[in-house]
Amino acid sequence: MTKKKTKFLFNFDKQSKVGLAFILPALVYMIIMVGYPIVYNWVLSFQDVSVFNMAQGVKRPFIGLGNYRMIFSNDVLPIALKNTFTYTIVSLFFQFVFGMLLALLFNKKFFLSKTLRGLLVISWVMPTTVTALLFKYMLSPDAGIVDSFLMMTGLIKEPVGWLLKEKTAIWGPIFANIWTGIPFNMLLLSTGLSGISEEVYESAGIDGANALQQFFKITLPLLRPAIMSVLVLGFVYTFKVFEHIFVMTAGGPVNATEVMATFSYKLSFRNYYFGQGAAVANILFLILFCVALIYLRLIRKEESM
Amino acid sequence: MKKVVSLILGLTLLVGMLGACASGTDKSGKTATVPNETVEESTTTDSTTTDSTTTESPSGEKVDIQFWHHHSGGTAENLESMINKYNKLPDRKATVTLQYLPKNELLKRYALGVISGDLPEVALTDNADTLSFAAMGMYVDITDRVNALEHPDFLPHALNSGNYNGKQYSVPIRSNCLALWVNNDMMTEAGITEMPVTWDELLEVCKTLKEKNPNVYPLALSAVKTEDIVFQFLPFLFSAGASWDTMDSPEAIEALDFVKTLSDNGYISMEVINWSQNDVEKQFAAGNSAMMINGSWQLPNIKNDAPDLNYSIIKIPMNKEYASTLGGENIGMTIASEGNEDAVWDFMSWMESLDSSLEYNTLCGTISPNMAITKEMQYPDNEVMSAFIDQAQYAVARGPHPKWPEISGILQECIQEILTGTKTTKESAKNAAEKIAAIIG
Repeated sequence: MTKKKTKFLFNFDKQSKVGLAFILPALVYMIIMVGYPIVYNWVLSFQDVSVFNMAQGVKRPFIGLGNYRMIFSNDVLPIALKNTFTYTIVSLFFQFVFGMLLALLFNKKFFLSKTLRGLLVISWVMPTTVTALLFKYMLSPDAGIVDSFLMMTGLIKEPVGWLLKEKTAIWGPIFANIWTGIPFNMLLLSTGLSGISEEVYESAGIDGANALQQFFKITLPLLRPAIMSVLVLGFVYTFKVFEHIFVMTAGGPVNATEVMATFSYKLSFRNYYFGQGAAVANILFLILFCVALIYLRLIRKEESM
Repeated sequence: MKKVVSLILGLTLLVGMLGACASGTDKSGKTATVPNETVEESTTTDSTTTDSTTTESPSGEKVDIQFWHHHSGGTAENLESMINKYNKLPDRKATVTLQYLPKNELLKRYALGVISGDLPEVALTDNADTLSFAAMGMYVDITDRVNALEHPDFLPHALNSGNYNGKQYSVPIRSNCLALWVNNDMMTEAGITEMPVTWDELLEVCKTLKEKNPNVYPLALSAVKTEDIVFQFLPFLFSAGASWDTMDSPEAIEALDFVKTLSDNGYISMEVINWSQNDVEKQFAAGNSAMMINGSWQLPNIKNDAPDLNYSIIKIPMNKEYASTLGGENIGMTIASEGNEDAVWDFMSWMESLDSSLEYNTLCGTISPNMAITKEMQYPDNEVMSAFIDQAQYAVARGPHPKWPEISGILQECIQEILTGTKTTKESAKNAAEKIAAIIG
């Protein structure tokens, strides 16, 4: 086995060479377009980069972990980390629950079900900036529908001003993101559901399984691959959140809604500390790396099953 | 083998995910242009895209040069008409192509361009942003060229915003400042005849307005966590006799407390912390506020949104002295001009000539930074613009400092902390002063 492996690297038979030729273009593309920026970003994160030495390129001084030390002593980092996780986990939970419920609903074939499902996707195809602006207006205390509605029902006495208070501001982008993400979850789960054969349910029904049992014993286990990809993709998309926050609050009030992506952006492109911005991006990278590793493990388990 | 395949697949997935979050460095390389329809459609010159590297033709008579800017709407059209005019001059040395990029994108492209070399020959920046790029080495020193201009006398603060370590790197093309806009009808309805001159009088007027018409906010200003909040707060800071490098002085605290008083009494909406200056204009135009602090660049918007609005422009009420913030843009010659400096300067000096400066600024409703152009030359019989020019005498530019964006970020945080009540004025001001001191050393 070991012998074969070394051979695999250095001594190709004709078939492998042809195979290699086929993947070469893709490989080169990946290395240049994706690999290079990542490597560059890591290098950047160990360099001292500010307005005064940006143009020097490679000659910029290396400062070891200096940038990481700087961002770990920056009081915005803990807020950004906490917000990013809160944002991701809360969004993911509600998107998934509502997405699942809607997927189950539309799986029952009823009049106009396909049309309605198609219409629901609108919230997902809408440009993020538009969604963010819509929610910004809806959450405005003076003219927004949310506060007016809550006041009408008597739940609150005066407008909350969701985006204007540090405690509530992060919920604005979370609402917007949940609303945006539900159709995405629904679509992927629907596809998964349509892959489950009717016959399984039929025979379960004959055996006396009720709807709840059918859901937990049949639907969920058979839907596992779809659920996993929905959650992992959802996590990755949500974790990188930028537009919702940037448009709705620009990270404010004060720093209450700062997330990793906006923090990195501001360090790099507003203060021109590219090294520190890169360091924040790399922390984001490491977290997603861990998520991807967990995902890989789960997939491998699945395959060996 | 299966393991290898799944590993490769996994890595591909991972790398794909990360590619998108790698701090934008890679992104902007790929997203080539953000075209603006209005500009692109009617640009008369050959349709060069931003991606093509600067076209230099030493042999040809006219050099093709790029000019990047962040203007949209009316200003973009005005700039475009100026460029079209230049491009028709028979004895010109260059042919200019305009390229619009949204402001954040533009600044990003400049910063990346310093590293990659992908820069326009002529770069437009806000006056507060100029020194960052000067420090980065984006510009060519044009001190001698500026001094040799026929009329080299510019508003000192405007010119100084492009001066780094004694060298001139860019020149102002437009200036503007903030003033107080007053809705005359609302004032009359509330029985106010005397316009506020001091801070105390402003509070009095606000109080009366609030009592007479509780549904309308007496004043609107922008306090969103961008450059807008700093731009709008500085007049108060300057008027109290402080500046951005003395944030913990009693004067600065007085200014911060004054803004807090406006907010605490409900004279400004609590929503101001999410309003940009454009949002403020919309509020004023819609009659949701009786007064606003804003600049003359809003005139076309007001005309559009509320053509019948009866308003007047007065100086921002003062504490110790009148004050305002000087806005506007500079143009600079970048290192991409190498070998074509004369051709590029031919265009830049044309833009800076009295005729062009007068025409461009009059079209835009802004103030020419060239002091050879008098109020009477530019806006005869125009009360509104005269008022802005009067206010401009007291206007000071932000910075100038190469790390202004960072300083501005600290000020933004400080003012928002105070407006939202996260920290006390003293605490927040002290914190800001310490951070700023650490930056300017």
